[in-house]
Amino acid sequence: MELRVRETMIGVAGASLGTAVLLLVPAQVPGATIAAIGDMRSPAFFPVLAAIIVLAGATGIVLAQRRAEPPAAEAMPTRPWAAMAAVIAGGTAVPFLGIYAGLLVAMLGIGVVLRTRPLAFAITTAVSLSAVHLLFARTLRVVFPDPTLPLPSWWPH
Amino acid sequence: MIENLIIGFGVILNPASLLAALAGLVAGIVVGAIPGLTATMAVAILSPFTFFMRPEVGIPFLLAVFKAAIYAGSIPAITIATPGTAAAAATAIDGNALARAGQARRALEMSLYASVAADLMATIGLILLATWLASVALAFGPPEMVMLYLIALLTIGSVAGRSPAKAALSAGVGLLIASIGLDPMSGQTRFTFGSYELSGGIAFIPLLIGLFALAEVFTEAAARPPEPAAVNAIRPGEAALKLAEFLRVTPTIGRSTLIGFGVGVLPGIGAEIACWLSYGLAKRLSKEPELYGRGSLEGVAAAESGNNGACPGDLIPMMVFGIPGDTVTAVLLGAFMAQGLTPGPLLFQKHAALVYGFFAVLIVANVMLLALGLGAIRIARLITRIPRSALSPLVVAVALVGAYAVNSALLDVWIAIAGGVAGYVMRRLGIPIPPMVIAMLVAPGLENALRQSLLLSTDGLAIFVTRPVSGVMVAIVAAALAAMTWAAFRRRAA
Repeated sequence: MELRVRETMIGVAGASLGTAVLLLVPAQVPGATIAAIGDMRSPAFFPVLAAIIVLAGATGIVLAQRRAEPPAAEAMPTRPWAAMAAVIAGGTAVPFLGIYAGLLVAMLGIGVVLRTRPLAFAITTAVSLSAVHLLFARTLRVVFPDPTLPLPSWWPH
Repeated sequence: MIENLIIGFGVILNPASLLAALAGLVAGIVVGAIPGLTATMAVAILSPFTFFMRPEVGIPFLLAVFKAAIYAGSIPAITIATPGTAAAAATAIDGNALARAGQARRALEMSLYASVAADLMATIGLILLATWLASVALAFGPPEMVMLYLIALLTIGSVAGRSPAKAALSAGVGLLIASIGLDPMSGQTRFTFGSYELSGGIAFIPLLIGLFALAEVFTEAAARPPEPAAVNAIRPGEAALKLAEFLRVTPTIGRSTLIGFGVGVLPGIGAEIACWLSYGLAKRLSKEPELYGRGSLEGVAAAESGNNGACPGDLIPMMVFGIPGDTVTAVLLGAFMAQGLTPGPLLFQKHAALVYGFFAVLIVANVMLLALGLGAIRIARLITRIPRSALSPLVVAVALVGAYAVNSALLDVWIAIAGGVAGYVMRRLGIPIPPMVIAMLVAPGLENALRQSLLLSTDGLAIFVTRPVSGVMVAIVAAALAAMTWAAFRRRAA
């Protein structure tokens, strides 16, 4: 994608965010309006100010693209998105399968994406899950959520 | 001050605190010695552990991780020409040249001794300056704090990345994130979308874990696996560094420490820049500048003194004003607050024993680092060979569980994941992350101070100009804005 197009899209996204915040102010801050920018005592003052700063930054980004033709932007690789999908899958699995299964899903996905060697992956997984259990569950007594799916009694959670 | 320091030593000279400091040093050395794992990542994913510890145990642990990670970045910089942390980039130039010439031991030892010496001197500077600044800051009222926050945000925005517009966008998003939750004065909900969980706001630590730990893993997925580099580690029978060689570079170490410390005190500029400034000045003043770049022990000493001198300096704006100077101190700030310690001038009054205990642990950790570092450089070959791809699943597991453990809430896991995605996307798009993080952390203080200023004022915004200290700060902000605008105008005209 051409760099100028990408940068303009960043600016448009920023402007959309800032505008959305301004439009949401009356609904999300009871009794407030965009005019709260003139009243520093209003709870909406700070969010409105922040939205204006976001809009200013976004405008600056778009205006900066009016200069000479920049070089092409580097294409976004796909493997990071696969890594993100693996972590999201793991996070999604936690409430249904428990913390250990959820972590295993995430770690497995990351290992596949990063092409971790099987032996190194096995060692790392064993160490990680043991560390989580010993440190968080046993020592720090963190209570992990129970899985919602009906699972056998031996299922670790 | 001496009495307070003695009390501080009494606070931390217990087995738990010392063990925590030792564990932190070991963790920091491992993280710092593996290229691609950053000090910020280490502090972020390890900070949830400290919430279950007493402050005199948890905070020394994190401070030790920070200190050791900055030093240990020099190990792979010297042995495989790949800095373990960005702060060791200048060390790689002369350090690796020495290692390739069969002098890895001298380079590694010089790096260790210079780091420890610089850190010790800078820690003394921290104790003296922080104490004095805290007493000055007590006289600061809300208008002065508002201007301080604005100066910090402007400084960070101007040095983070090449685009001021992207820095402004990033800072604005940080302010927006901090606005979610309850209004601090009226208690009204803001942008919670009816969610009870969001009424407490966005948890900072899980978000920081995502931004700095998970985002690194996603970034690693984008890179090609590095070619295994030749490891120029210590060979049997190699000559050690002589005392005379170390003494010869002590003026350089002193000068570089001063530069690093001064740079560290300024918000937005950290060890990554301090190392280059120190190295550059040392080369200019050196009697043997031709050796720089080809294996100069003085060059190694200058770079390492600069980056380790910056670490204690970095703590000053965070502890005295509650303004984190960089991403590591931003995470440390979050850890302090999670322990019920609100950084600022009152921290030195309400928790004097603890604060001086933290200063004492920085001194004690230096001594420990000397011993641990000598061991670490012996096994440098092993540490630098650990593949990042094998550690990434571990990082993901600890990051997700750590995020959950903060409040035992699944929402925080999703905040961490969202932070990871956002952090990766921001890096790819060239949007700087530090302005967002620092804006997020200073926003509550800034908003409170701003509204308190107006409550105090009888004539609106004029209070910022009529109070002398605040008036001077307004002039500084105006001058900085004018300079930035002029520089941008000249760049465009060129």
